[in-house]
Amino acid sequence: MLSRSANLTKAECASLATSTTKALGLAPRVQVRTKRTKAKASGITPQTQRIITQLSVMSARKKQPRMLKLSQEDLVKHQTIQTAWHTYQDIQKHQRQEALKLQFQKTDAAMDLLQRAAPDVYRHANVDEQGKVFPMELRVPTDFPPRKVWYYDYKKE
Amino acid sequence: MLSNVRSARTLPSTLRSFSTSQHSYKAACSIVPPVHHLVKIDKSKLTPRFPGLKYEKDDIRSPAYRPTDTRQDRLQEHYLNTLQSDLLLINYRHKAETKEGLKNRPWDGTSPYQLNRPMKKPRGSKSQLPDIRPTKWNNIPELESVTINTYVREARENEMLTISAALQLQQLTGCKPKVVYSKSDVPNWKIRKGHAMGAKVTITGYEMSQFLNTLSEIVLPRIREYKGISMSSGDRFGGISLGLTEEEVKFFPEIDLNQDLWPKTFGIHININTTAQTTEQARTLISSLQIPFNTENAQRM
Amino acid sequence: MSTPAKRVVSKGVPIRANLILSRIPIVVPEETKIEKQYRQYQNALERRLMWTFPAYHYFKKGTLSEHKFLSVQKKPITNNPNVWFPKGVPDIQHGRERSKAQEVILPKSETSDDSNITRPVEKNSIVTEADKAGDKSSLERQLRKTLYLLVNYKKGGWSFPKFDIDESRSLDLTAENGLRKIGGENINTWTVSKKPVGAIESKDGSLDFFIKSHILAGKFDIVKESKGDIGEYAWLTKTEIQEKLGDDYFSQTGYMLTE
Repeated sequence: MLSRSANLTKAECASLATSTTKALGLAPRVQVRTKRTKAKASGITPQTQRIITQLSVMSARKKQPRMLKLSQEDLVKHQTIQTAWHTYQDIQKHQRQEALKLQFQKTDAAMDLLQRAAPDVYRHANVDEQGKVFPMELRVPTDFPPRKVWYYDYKKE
Repeated sequence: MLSNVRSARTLPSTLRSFSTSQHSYKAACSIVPPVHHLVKIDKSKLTPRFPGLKYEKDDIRSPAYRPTDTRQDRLQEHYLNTLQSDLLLINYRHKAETKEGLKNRPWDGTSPYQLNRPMKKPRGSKSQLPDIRPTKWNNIPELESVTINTYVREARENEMLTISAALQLQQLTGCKPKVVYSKSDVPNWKIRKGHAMGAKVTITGYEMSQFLNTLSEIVLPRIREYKGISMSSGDRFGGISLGLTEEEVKFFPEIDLNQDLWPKTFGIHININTTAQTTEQARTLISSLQIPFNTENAQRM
Repeated sequence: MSTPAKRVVSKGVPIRANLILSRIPIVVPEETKIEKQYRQYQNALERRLMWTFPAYHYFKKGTLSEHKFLSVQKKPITNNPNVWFPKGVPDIQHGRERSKAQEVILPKSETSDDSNITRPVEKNSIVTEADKAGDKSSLERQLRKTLYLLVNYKKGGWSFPKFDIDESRSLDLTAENGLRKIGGENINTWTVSKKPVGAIESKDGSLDFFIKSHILAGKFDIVKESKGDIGEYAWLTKTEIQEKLGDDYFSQTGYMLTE
C-alpha cells in the first residue's frame, strides 16, 4: 500500500521498512507466502456453490469420454452386427403383425357368424368397450419372481 | 424368411445432406436473376475438418452416437406378449367404419368475393379434427413418449431454482433436460419474457419404460389415499397427463435415498403420449401399465 | 359377402361359450441368444461412452461416506513423460481414464448388521417347486410363459372349458358364470372383452365361441357337483396344449394363444 502510493522502488521501500523497525526497536518482520488455504473467490455462498455443483452434474464438461476410434475391420464388424439385429427385429415385427392380423380376421369371422346364428347374442357382444380399464392386479412381469408367486387365498366378497 | 422383410435397410453409412433449405421457411426470395442463396449451405458439412458430423446419429462414427437396446425392456415385452392382442380385441368393433373428424367447410360460391377466400372453420371447433379409423392389427395403441415438465413459480425471483428443477428431472429420468423460458411478458404475474421458468425432458424407449415402472410400482402406491388419474385427463388425441406435487416427488427412490441433497423438490407434470386416436383408447392402454384411474368420478364426466 | 349371409343358421342351433382363461407370465420371457449377445455388446458400448460419474454430487467433500467411496475406487494409471505407453498416453479427467469405460465400485458394509446399508437382494428361483414336481394343476409353474386352463371332460376329452349359452344370452357372462359353477367361487378373473376372439363351426351344426379372460387371483378347483363330468384340469403352455389337443383342434385355436 505504502509502496504504491509513494511510487517508491522496491529497494527504497525495503530500506525504509528496516529503518522504521530499527527506530522502533523491533525485530525485522519476515513475510513468507505459504500455500493458499482459503478459496480464491471467498464471495461464493454455499447456495451458489450448490448451484455450481448442480450445473456441473448436468454439463458434459470434463466428463465426456474419448470418441470411439474403430479400425476398418471393427467398423465392418459393427455394421454387420447392426444389420443382423435390424433384420432380426424386422422378422420379429413381421411375425407379430401376421399373428395380430390373423387374430383380427378370426374375430371378424366369429362376429359375422354370431350375427347370422344368434342376433340377440350378437347384440350383447358387439358393444363399444373403448375406455375399458385394466385391473390393477394384472401385473407387469418382473425379472425375478416375487416371494409369494400366486395369491391362492382369494375369497369372493 | 428374409423375403418377408419389407423395409430393406441400408447400412447407416449414408451421408447426411448438407442442404438445410427445407428447414428455412422464407416468406419470399428474389426471382430476378442472378438469384443468390436459394440453398442454405451448412459449411460444417462441407469442410473436411469435422468428418464425424457427416454421419447419421445412429452411425458409430458420429459423435452423437448412443447405443440402443442395451438391456431387456420388461414393459415392452409385456406389451408385445399380452397387452397388444388384448387391446386389439377391446378396441375392435364389428363392421366399424371411419368416423370423420370435423373439417373446414367450403363456401357456397354465391358471391364473387368468396373467390380465393380461405375455407370456413368447422362448426364447433377452432381447427380441423382428425378422422378416427377403426382399430386394426396395424394401428393398435402403443406408448410413444413421456414428457415431464416442471414449472417453478419461485423462479420469478430466483432464476437459479430452474437449475435445481432441471437436475431433479435428470435424476428421475436419466436423460438431459432442457430449461424452459417464458415466452411473453405477463405483468400481473410478474413474469418477464425470456426468464427461465422451469425445465422439461422427453423420454422414449427403455428410459420411458423404466420411469413408468418406477412410477407405477414405487411412487404411486406410496402416495396416501391416491385415487388415480382423473377420468377427465386427456387431450382428445391420445395423450394423458398427471401431476405429482413436490411432496409426492420425494417418493422416487432417486430422491428418497439422497434426501440431504434435495432440501427442495419440485412438483412435476407427466404427459404420456400414445399413438391412440382417442382419450378412451389411451386410457385403456395406460391402465394396463398398472397406473390407476379414478373410476369413481367416471359418472360425473 | 352376401352368399354366406344368406345361408340361414337355424334358430335352435346350440351355441357354446368357451373360456380361454390365461395366467399371464410372472417373469419376463427368456432372451434368445442373439438378443442376449446384442444387448451385451450394446451395453458395453454404452458403458464406454458414458459420462464420468459425478461422485462429488453424491458424496459431500470431507465426509466419511466420500472417503469410503473413494477408497474402493481403482486408481487409473497417470501420465509420466519418462514412460512409454504402448496403448496410448493416459488421458485422465475427474479421476477417469477417458479412453475406457468407467468402473464405479460401491463400497460394501464391513458388518452385516449395519442397518444403514440395505440387505443384498435375494433373487428367487424362476424354477419353482411345481416345476420340479411336474404339477400341472399349479399356477406357480412355467413363470416365464402364459398358462391356459384346460379341463378333461369325461365325454369329450381335453378342451377349453365350454358352457351352453344361458338365459343371459351373453357369451362372456355365460363363460364366467360357468367357470364358477365348475371351479368354485373363489376365483378372480377379468374378462378382456365381450367379443369372441374366434369361433369353430362343428359338423353337427353347433357353434363354439371363444372368450378371452385373465385369472388375477384365487384357485380353480373342480367342485363336487362337476366331478361327474370333469376328470381333471391343467394349466398348460401353448406347446403343451398342442401336444394335448392334437393338431386338428389346435389349428383352429392356436392363433388365440401366445407363448
